[in-house]
Amino acid sequence: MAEVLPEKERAPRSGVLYLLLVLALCAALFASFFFGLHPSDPAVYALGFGGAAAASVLLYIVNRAFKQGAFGVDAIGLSLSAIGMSVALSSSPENVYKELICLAAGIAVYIVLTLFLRSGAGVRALRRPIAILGLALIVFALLTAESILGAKNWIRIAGISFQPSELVKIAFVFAGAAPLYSVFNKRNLIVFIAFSALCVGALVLMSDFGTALVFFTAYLVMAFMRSGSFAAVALSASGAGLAAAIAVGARPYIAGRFSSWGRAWELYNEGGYQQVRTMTACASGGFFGLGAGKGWFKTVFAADTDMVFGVVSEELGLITAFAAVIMVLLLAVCAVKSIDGEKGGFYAIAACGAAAIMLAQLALNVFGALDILPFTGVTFPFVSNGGTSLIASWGLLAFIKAGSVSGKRKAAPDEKA
Amino acid sequence: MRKLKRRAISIILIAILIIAGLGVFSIRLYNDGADWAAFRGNGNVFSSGKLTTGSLLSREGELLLRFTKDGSEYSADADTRLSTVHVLGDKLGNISGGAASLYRDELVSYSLVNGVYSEEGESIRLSISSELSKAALSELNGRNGAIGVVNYKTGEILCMVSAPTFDPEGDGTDVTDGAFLNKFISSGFTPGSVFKLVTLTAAIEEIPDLYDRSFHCDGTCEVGGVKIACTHAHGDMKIEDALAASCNCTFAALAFELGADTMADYAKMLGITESFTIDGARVAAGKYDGEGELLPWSGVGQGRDLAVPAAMLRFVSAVANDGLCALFSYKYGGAGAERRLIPEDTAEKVALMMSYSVAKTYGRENFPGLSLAAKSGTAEVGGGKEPNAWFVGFSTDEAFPVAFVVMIENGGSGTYSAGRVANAVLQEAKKLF
Repeated sequence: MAEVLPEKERAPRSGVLYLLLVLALCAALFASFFFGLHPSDPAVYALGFGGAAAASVLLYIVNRAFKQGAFGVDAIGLSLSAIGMSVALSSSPENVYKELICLAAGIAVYIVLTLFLRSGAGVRALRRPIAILGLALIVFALLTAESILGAKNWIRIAGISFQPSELVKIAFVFAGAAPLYSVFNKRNLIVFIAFSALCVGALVLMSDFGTALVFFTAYLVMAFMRSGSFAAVALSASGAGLAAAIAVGARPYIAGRFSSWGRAWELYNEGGYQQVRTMTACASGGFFGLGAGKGWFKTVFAADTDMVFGVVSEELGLITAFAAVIMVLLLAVCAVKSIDGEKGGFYAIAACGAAAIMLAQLALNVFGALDILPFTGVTFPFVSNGGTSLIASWGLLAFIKAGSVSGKRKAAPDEKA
Repeated sequence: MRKLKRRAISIILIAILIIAGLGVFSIRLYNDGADWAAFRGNGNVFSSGKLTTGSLLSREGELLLRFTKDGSEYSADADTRLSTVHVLGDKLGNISGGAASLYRDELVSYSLVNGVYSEEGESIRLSISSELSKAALSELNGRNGAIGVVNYKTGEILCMVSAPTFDPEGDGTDVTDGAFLNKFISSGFTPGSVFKLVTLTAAIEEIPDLYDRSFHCDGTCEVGGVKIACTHAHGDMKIEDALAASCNCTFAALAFELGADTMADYAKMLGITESFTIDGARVAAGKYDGEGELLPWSGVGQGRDLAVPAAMLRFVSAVANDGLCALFSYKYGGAGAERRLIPEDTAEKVALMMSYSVAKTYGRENFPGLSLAAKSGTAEVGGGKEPNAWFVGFSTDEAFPVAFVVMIENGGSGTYSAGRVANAVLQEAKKLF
């Protein structure tokens, strides 16, 4: 990726090129709806993709104005969001305003967070309070979840529903990257075990096994980066694994999902209902898709969130679906390649923690829906329909961007805060 | 920082696992994509489990059945609908083994690259001739039964008619008992004398001096303590004359000599008592029972023997084709595969004797312009009912390679009743060549 190359090698206009690619994607998606679907109300699609294009231009301008380096990471977030817009407009075109508001909110969170992270002093000053706030949010999410057992922990504020567990991911990265820094240097096993207990607690209390697994994966990645100790990581992983096994046994709802794993076609109208239809949708679309909005799969419950890979494959084609997966993988590569700053481990660990969350979500979302992993119902970063998930994805992206921007600082020490 | 970068390998590891997962998915898609797309829950090409795309055409290229989002649409011609409904299947799925379900995977027109995207939907041209089917149904003239005609070189089924039938576009008031049954593939009937071809094949294989023997018939005889009756006293004869005369005494004696086990083995080997499939549609197995006192009559196709018309047709088409059976198919061009059912020299001997039977008994003049080898059957069904009339055989003309089976329930004499229908159907079939 261009943003991790030394300054001299970076093509100055690569940012424009990335922007143009994003705009071309928005135009292509609009054209697919407009010419393929012949919608009675084309304004909705013009609004959706026009809004996405405008947001892209705006983000590009902000990026240039604040000298935030190359535009690659941003372009990936925007491209995935454009695909997500296509999914959202395909399944519920009437929600176009909500989609645009959430996209704007996500990008706003992203801009604010990247600018904040850029200020090294600010991060140093606030990382402890934010980490504590994050831990508090986790506890808050657990407590609210406890009151509505079995369901996903939605919270409604001013008519807009939130999934706190999505937003907690941002705080979780803070919590994982900042205060554990010193703790893991001392190899404090109690904190490992406490963290494991927290994840398993999330599993038991929230009945949201997928999200618990996402958190736990990010935790393992961050813990290993800090400690470098296989033994400590293996110990906490096996401790959590054992507790998870007990929890799964105690929860028929989760155990049911495991029992249908790998047998989706046998249980095509029971436990494998969603997976079988995802595979069917993937095969139906072929390489190039049936056309935006022209698929059937979106009518299946949760297709646009938990099985979104199927919607993208069916309507936009396997090439686009694979490209979406590869884009998330590239974000992870960006996170790893950006580890050469001199601002301390926080940026590196935060970037990798954010990337780990995205990768874990990606794997569970795509492979769960395809019956390669157990079906747990987590979201595909940026692409799955859902406001909180989109905002959380942009928030996580900020950590990856911050990592790459801090990489740039090495070449420009005069900018150091 | 270098240490941190090394430790970040865990991220790259997860990324590699995800790529591996995509690989697993790709392999599965490549192998099973067609099955996934043809899943009945696929709302792109099914609605409530019913196909919404594709069409089936007759051999002539006429539309027989089209699948649309508004349901399935049969031929506009009522006679075509009545004579092909058992090939195609009905709207409610009462008929099993219909082409609509057999070719479901192909009708969704799946390809790895294009998925189920298709402007027109897939058209499949069947081997079935709508003209021949209509002619065959009209020749049954309201009687129940089954008629099948096949190209024995390619295995293409040119006609498959089962009666009673019904109109798939009708309101259901014309549905009578047995209308949902495809008698050609699903019903076993007492075969009567057409089963003598099985006994004959076994005898040629197992009795070395069969051709040197002379058989004698006084009109009745006793075989293994069981009294056997013939239509009249056939006197002394060679095996070919015994077949031409359809002498019960001779074939009862041969079955007795061969024994129940050998007879059962041949009935199975020749496909009479074994189930097989036509493009995936299951053909029911017939029955052979030569135990104890049943043995003499079993060689004559009476007693508890049952034969399915399709199996009988397969057997005679193998006789016609030097013992090789071209796999049956409803598709234009056939399945393109064959298997040996009968040793070549034995098939030739049976064919010659069937040809001789036409010349000597059935009369070549009754089949003008045709060069036939055939065997009739008049199968007693008891209960005071008329016997079932069978006529099976094939054209020995290389340019007109068809085998046929005509089975008319309670149709009376095989030779006169079924034979006449066979001639009319074959005259129509000849127009296809």
